[in-house]
Amino acid sequence: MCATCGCSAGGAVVQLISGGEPDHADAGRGHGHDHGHDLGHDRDHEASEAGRTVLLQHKVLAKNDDIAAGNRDWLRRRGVCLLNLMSSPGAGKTTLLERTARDLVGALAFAVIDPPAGSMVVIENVGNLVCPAMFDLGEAVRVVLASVPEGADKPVKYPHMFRQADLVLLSKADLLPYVNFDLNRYTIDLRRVNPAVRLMRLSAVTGEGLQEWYDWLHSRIP
Amino acid sequence: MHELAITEGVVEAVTERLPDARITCVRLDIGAMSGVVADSVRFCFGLATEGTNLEGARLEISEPAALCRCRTCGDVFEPDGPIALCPCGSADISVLSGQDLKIISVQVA
Repeated sequence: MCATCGCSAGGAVVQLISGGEPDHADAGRGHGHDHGHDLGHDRDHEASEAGRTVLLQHKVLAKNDDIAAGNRDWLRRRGVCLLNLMSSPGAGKTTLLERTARDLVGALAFAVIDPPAGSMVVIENVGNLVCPAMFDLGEAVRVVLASVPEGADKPVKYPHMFRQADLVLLSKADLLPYVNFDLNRYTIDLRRVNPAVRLMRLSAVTGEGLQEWYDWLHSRIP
Repeated sequence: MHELAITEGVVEAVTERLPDARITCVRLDIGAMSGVVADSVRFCFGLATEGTNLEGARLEISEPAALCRCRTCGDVFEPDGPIALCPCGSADISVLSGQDLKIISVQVA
């Protein structure tokens, strides 16, 4: 809580554009959150002024971003890697995770609660290629999984999701011979959206490509 | 899809800062690369404000264009659509602006 005015320190980022309190110079320095105090004090001191415009610069996702930053900091101090796994429904997140956890027993610690140092926590996000792109969870890495039968148009159709991925997994790769999936087109389009992203094709059914995925997981442990 | 939660976030933020004021207008900036569809926010706004001190408020949305810088040729350009490609053909770009989602101001009765 802000010692000067009692506002909530965990709240949203509100920046002062104009007006404000002349004696509030210590606001930003004193409690490490970047908000001005114009609204609260305007309300207290000038509440009767009718029909006025109150200027804000309020980032709508500020609260979410604050929580994410707290998570990220906590995980970094603990030496835990948080992986955010995203895909559309039915792309195979659960199948891949179950197989990964089975194959890596003893080799890599996956933690559910109270993660010890050197472990990995995976958030199996909701099946959706739109909404999870908006929300930072404090993860260290973002993995987007898209399966072969979904079609090769996914990066172009959901650029927000693919733009922020660190790794893209093309799952159900065992179905490539049977469906009309232009791998070349997919790779080119993915690079147009995110030139730096790494792409792996794998199949949790046949085991194709899994070693590369496991090696990558190991490399992410702090 | 996520616009209802976003709109509820707008209402909550305004209510938190101005709990006793009757809000008559909310002005938002929804950047072209913010990932939020302005029309969906408009659709959700009436529902999200119902029973709050923003009920009946007008919603004004401006949608500032995005600006990107090409890391290959150095040009600053306005992307044409959600996939930012420099006119030189490079996809290696950084987004300078247009990702913001902000409450710019509110009108108080």
